[in-house]
Amino acid sequence: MYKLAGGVIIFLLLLVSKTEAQSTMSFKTIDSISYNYYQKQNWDSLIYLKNQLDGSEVDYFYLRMRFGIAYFEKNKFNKSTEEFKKALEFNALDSLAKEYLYYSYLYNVKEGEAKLVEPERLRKKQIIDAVYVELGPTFSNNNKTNQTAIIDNSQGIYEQIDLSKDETYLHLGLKHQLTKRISVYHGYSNIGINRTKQMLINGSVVTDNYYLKQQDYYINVNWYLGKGFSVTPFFHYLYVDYEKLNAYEELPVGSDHYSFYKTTTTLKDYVVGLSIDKRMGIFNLNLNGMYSSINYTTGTQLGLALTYYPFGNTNFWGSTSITKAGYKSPSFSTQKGIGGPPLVFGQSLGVSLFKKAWIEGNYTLGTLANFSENNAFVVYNSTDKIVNKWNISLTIPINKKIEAKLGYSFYNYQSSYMSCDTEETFTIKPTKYENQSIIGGIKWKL
Amino acid sequence: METLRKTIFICICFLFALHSKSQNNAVLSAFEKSYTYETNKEYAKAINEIKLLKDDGYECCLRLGWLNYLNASYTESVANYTKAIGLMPYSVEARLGIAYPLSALGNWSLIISQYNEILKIDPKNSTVNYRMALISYTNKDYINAQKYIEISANMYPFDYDSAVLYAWTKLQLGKFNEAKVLFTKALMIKPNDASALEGLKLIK
Repeated sequence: MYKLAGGVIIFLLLLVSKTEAQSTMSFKTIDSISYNYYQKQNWDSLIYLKNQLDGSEVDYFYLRMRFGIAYFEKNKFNKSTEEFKKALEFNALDSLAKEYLYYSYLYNVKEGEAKLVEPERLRKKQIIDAVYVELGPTFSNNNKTNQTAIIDNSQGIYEQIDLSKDETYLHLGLKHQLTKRISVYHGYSNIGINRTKQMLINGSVVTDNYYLKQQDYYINVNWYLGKGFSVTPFFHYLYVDYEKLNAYEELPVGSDHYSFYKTTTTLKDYVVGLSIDKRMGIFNLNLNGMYSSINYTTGTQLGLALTYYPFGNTNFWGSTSITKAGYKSPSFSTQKGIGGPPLVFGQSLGVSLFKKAWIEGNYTLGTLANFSENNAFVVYNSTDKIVNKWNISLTIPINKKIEAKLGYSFYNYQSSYMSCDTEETFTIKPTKYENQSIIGGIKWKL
Repeated sequence: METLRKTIFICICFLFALHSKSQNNAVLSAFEKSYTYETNKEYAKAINEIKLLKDDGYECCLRLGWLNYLNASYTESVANYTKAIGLMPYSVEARLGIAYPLSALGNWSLIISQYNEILKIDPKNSTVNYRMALISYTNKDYINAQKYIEISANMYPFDYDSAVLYAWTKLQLGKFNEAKVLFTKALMIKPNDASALEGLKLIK
């Protein structure tokens, strides 16, 4: 009965208007009500009280801590950050406020800010901070769909198709926290692609199965400048190596006699660029630019992305990006099936599930040819073009140190093959196929 | 005409003196009553006595600061002490006083800034040096703790609090011989003291 009466009195006290509350609620009232709510873990009421007191002169460390913890418990990390920052203005030495502020930043995807306030007891002096491993196969229906293309549609005297088939992918990466503000991520990747080249000569098909091997080294340096600004220079080196069969017509031209020889191709490609991020409340704005030399073609790319956390936490988030790419090689941009310089649109959405696991989906529309994304961590350097792709991934924390990730991606490809109508003219004929990849990964925080 | 002027002037002076005397009596009476109420722990009444004076002078602000602190009206106490400091910027007592409500509110950064202000006015203030040493020690800043406690301990060599804090600071800095001497001194001041005995045990 007494409890009920107490509750009614508190409720009536809070019913007064905001202005009235500011002028009439004394320190003692505010302190006792807020302490009462805090002890009972009545977070919603504490937040309500906080809103009532907005602009009040009663302001002190313990009050800010109570409000901060209320917001933190309700996963409103933007708000809790503000309260703990204010609490630390009152008591810069308080370790509990520092730790809460650190986690508020961390759970609000503000790693740069979090590192700056990381409590001493959580700080580790080690060379490697995290290890990343991801691997998985890619299954392609290209061979099934297009292996008879040159026979079925044969019109000319010579036809040639190069089919990209199943792939394997492996990536090993390390993260180093050099200083509070600077972290480095670098890694090695190995991609293997089974390919088949078919040549239709004089009505018979010559087939060459070959293996394309790609080895990559990727590095980025993230430098947190403060006030939500960070810059990330990055570099991706790609070493591509394969050997495939070629045919040439023996002289005189028109003899219809062909010889075959194998040629080895080695590509030493790279992408270099810079990304600038600015965090503003629930938004993160990213501007990135890069220069690439891929498949004998140089290109530039300029992208803008906006990531948003509408609830001030990672329970739900989204990211929208638009990228403009341009290439210097005129032959590249005018090739049939590629079109002009591509404009690529990307949309991602993420939802937090049970026990801090989360699911993320994204869709990309636009021609991905010699295209890079995620600060050039991913480079689409295939000679076949992706016209759209979508991906869904599930991330599950196994324990405090290990996080497992499983992703499925679907790619719609456009390719082409060559058909020589006469000795001197040839046409490029389009083909389509789909790839599906399953990538599993582990992130191990040391 | 001259005589009339003189008479008016004398009358005004007399009335002014009379008013001042009654005012002074009211102030003295209010302060006296407030002490009585304070002794009886009737802090709200004590506050009211001073408030009725409607005097924004240093003494009233300081007194209200203290009484509001005792009444657990900490933000009001801080406001009164702040006003007193504004009126008398060199007042060490007001700055020492404001530390009480500030600590109750948990606003330790403001306490440290007040203590630093006091040390600018009075660098050898033993109370503040001791308190700064304690704050530094609590925050594991043993170098600064030593800097402050040295002053306090040298001014009051036979003070238990200074001796035992000095000893613990030396122990944390790895100066075991000096810590041993200081723990022994603390035991001379306060025989069988648990903290000093614990410190000595750690050294052995």
